[in-house]
Amino acid sequence: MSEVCSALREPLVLGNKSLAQVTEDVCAPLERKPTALWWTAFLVAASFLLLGVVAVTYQIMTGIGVWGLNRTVGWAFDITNFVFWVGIGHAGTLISAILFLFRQKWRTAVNRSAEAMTLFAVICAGLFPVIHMGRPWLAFWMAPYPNSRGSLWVNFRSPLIWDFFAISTYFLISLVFWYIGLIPDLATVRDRTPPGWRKRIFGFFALGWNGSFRTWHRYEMVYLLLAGLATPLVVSVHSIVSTDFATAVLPGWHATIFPPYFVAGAIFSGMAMVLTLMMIARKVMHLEDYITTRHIDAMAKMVLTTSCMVALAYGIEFFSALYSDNPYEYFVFMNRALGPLAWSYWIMVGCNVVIPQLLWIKRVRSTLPVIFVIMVFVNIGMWFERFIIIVTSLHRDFLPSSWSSYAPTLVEIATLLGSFGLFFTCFLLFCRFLPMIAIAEIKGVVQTVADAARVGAGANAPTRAASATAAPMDALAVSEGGHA
Amino acid sequence: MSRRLLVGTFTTEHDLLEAARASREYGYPIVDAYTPYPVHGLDEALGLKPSRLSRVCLLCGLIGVGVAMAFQQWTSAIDWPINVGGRPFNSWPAFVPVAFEVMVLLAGFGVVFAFLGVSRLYPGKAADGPASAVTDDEFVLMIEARGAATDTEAVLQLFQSHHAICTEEDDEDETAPEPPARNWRRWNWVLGGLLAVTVLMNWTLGSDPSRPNAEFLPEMVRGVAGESFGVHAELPRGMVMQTPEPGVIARGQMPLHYQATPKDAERAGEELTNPLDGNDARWQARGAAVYANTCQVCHGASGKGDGPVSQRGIPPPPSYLAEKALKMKDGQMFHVLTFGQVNMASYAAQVSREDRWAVILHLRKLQKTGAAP
Amino acid sequence: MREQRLQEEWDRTPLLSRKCGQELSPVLQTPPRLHALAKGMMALGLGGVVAGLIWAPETVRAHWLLLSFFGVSLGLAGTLFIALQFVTGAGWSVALRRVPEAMAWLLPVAGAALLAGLIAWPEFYPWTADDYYPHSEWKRLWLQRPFFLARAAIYVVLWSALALPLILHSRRQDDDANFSHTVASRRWSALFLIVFGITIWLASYDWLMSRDPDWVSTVYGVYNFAGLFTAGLATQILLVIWLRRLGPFRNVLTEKHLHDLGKLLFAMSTFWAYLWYCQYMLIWYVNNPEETPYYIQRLQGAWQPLFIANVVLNWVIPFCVLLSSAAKRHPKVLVNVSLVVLAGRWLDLYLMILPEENGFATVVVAVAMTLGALGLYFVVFCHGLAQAALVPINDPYLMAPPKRGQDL
Repeated sequence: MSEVCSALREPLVLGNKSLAQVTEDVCAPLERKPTALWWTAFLVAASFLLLGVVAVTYQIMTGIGVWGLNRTVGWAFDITNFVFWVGIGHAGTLISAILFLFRQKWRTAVNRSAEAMTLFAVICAGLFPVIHMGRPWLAFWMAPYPNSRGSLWVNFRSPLIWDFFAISTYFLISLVFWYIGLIPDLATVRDRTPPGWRKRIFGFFALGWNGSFRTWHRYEMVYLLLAGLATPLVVSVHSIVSTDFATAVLPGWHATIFPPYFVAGAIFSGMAMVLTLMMIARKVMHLEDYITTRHIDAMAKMVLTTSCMVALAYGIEFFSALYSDNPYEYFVFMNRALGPLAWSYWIMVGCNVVIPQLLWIKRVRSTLPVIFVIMVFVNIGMWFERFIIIVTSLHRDFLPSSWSSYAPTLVEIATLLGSFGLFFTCFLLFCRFLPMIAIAEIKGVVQTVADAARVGAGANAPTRAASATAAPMDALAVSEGGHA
Repeated sequence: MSRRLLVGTFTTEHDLLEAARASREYGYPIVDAYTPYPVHGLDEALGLKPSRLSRVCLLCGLIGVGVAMAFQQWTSAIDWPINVGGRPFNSWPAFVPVAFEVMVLLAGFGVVFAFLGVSRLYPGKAADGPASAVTDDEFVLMIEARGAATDTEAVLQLFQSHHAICTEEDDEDETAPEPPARNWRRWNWVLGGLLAVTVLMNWTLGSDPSRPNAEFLPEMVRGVAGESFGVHAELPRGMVMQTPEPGVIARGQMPLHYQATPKDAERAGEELTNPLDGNDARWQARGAAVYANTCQVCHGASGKGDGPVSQRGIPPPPSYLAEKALKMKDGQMFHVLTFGQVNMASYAAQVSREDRWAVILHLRKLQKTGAAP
Repeated sequence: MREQRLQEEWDRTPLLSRKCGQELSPVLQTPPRLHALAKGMMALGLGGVVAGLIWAPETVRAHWLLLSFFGVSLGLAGTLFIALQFVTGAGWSVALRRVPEAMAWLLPVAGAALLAGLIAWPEFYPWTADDYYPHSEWKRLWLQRPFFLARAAIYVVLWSALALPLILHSRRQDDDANFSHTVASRRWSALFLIVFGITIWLASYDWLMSRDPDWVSTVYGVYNFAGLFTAGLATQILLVIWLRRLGPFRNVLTEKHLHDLGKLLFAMSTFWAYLWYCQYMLIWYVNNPEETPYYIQRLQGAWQPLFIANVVLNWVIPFCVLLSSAAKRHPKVLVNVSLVVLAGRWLDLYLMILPEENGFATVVVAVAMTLGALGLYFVVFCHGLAQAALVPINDPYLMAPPKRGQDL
């Protein structure tokens, strides 16, 4: 294969790292004591988590009445948070699985932490359907097991049961995918650790991995298959979550575009969260050579793309409501923009549609603090989008005599903060105890000094004319590239 | 049986790849290679065929989708069909999401467990690779020296020519080491013992099939209030649902002291009068409506007894325009409606007392309009 | 700036000689027999139109719309493919880029035919009737002939106008090897994607969905996008394999290209099925009398087997056949699957348009018109392909195959 060097393709890992250096860079944070910064962040996150635990305990012991729900607005913060967290989880699978299938090698720097983020987000998400039940201790009734109630089966036609299957499958498959990816890295850490309880724990979970290529060969196939399974899975999960709304008759809820629209929105908010976390992590853990500005640029472009898709979906919905000649549909959209909850609608539009358009400008995409701020706004906007969809369609539907308003109680706000606390606590623990970058994968894409020397010494980097006359067809053909 | 292994350690993937290709060319039996990451081209160099795990994945997926669809069909259409919003029992569009998720779940777990099984990876397995630096930055090639057939020197020379930083000759003992087997035997005793204890307890303690088993959170299964059809000794006759005392009547319902006999019908005609005002348009409309709903099927729209039911074999009722009906008093008509007459059953349950008087107003109107030329 | 650095590096490397370029990538010479066959099919199509106008006028209208929309969507798919490859910086498809560029030539041709049909036959849409009176004033404004036709013209002109710079920059880069063409193409691609995103659903609402003006489905535009992109990929596969058999692409098209195109076809066909299911299941589930007539009409009588065949052709067959990696690389398998997908796309459009006439004459007219359209599109495609070298020889991505450590 010809090895024409061109500045068109920038290196994925900066700094001319050797393989040993890669191991050292990624494993060093695990081996030294956590910094004061880590402790501060951890304590803040843990205190939010504690607040959430207190709120949820109080709510389960007292009842759903401590929330601000009423007959008209039966779902508000609980389901908003559920959909929000499921959406955040989707970017991790996108980076892990979908970008893998598209042979985007730059994903190797961020995929491990993105997958971990997915798991934690799905855990946060899965709590909400359970606590929003009147009797959470009977949550196991959602599973179709043979029972003594005549063998009363679950209603398989209900989207809420589809949710149960989808979220649990998503969690389990993400866990398996993440763990399979971790096995070689756990072996790396195991082999670096001096004998002791730490080595035994890492050794236990590393399953005796020894780098055998026969195993790597099968491993690659398993990874490809899991990526191929996870891709439709992630699309199906958020589509099923969207059918919680789309299968209802409410105007503003029943729209056939909901499944792809929700998936685009999920990738949008998830990618923003990944960027937020990555930008902090790379600074704090000194991984700027791995999570480079190129990675941030690529992810920012994905945020911009999905922002445009979400904006398009808003337009399609509004236009279709006008076109449908249905006064209820028309009213829902007018109420969203001009009714009592209009302030939240305009926050949503501003944060989701207007602010991300700044990312068109190259200067903005190269200024990291600005990207960080934009991503925080995106997350706020996407939370409000779910809030708008749920509450505005519920609080003013067909019958004006049923119209109502909604205000959250302190317990609901504390629960929301608690979910953030849980997410960040888990993520901080992950950063502390497990390698944050996929060591084996990134070694596969790092171009070492030795490789560069070999390329330079071996073949003379041919000019276009030389390569054209010498091996014209080779130059035209595309060379081997990625994993798939 | 032990075998002799020739191990070469390299620092770049390129060297390993070239050494592996050369070894295969010369026909040296390659046991395995060890790398920190999957090296491209090495599968061809080692002569490995594409893994068949993809077929396991497909099979598990098909099983998953089949089982899920079949199970949903069975529970929703055969075992306990429940009408949910008029959706068909066999609602295949609604069964697709769950079937898809189960397919992915089974395919994923199936392929992962197959992979771990085939690669002999399990929790707690000790790492048995050639060098711990393999997971860091070293690449190892392992060739088997099969007696005199393999020229050991040539192999080591090949390694050196590809910049191997280290070459070794090892004897590998192939018999399984003792400690893992001892661990398994210990586990067997523990689990077997637990099984024996469980069986023993089940046999001795047993269970009384006449009483319900252990229940999880019975909550409102057994209520505080008495069960409607249960036996409660503290109540009269042991009944929760008591019968009313003699002489008790429902609220607003003055009793009618008539029997269902023609003599009492005539007496009712003498004693009862229509409390409704015949000129009130509302009651007339009400009477017409009740007549159309309840009476018209047999008596016909004009009252002549030619309704659709009468035209289909049921004995037709007498016409309202007959002599007997014209002479019948309101009260007797009320008695007929309440207790029935000949082929006509009692309509007391369907038509309230007020409505009966309103219908009688309508009957009179029919008689008036029918009698007039 | 990075661009300047790249331009300097580019200037330092010597240009390919034109002679070399001619050796590497000759301009297409369509075999004369194929050309004659295509012209014959066009004549047959014309005959079909004339005959149909006498005996089966509604069929002519329906198929005129179907086939011109099909052509427009193939043109859009080609341009979309190019735009996506530019925006994502992908290099794997660059060698084949002249094929989608030639497909983009269908935009003005089929677009003009579409506009002609829309102008000539207002009776095709029920809302042009005098007694159609929707409640909302907005809808009355939107569904008016003059505004409708103006919109249609705008869509076609915009699409053609945005495809043109992509083609021109690509051709000019053959001559002067300037990197700025790639940069400009990236910008035009981004603009095209935005305009396409907005106009495709408006166009499918206008041209297809308003056949039943009381019915709305918000996913209709996305569904049509998926269908058109899948059909475009199938067409590309057919064309690149044909060009390889013909000779010019023999050393250009590799197994990897086919594998990638096969994977894309597999993925897009599954995406189409996902959107089909979204629309069908949600309308089925809610059972709303405002929406269900759409499907009830398409499940009556003879339509039902066609409805099922639609899913089978567009998804079941491509999915099952292309599941294995080997199948995605095999030219014969890909050709067969692509033909099935194109037939499925035709059927999809046929079901969306739902013409009412039936009888032997309609079948004859339909077949004749379809063949005619295929002939016309083939001639246009060959004409477009013959305008420039078959391979964009001076494209920077072509001359920079990735090495280890870099992306594809």
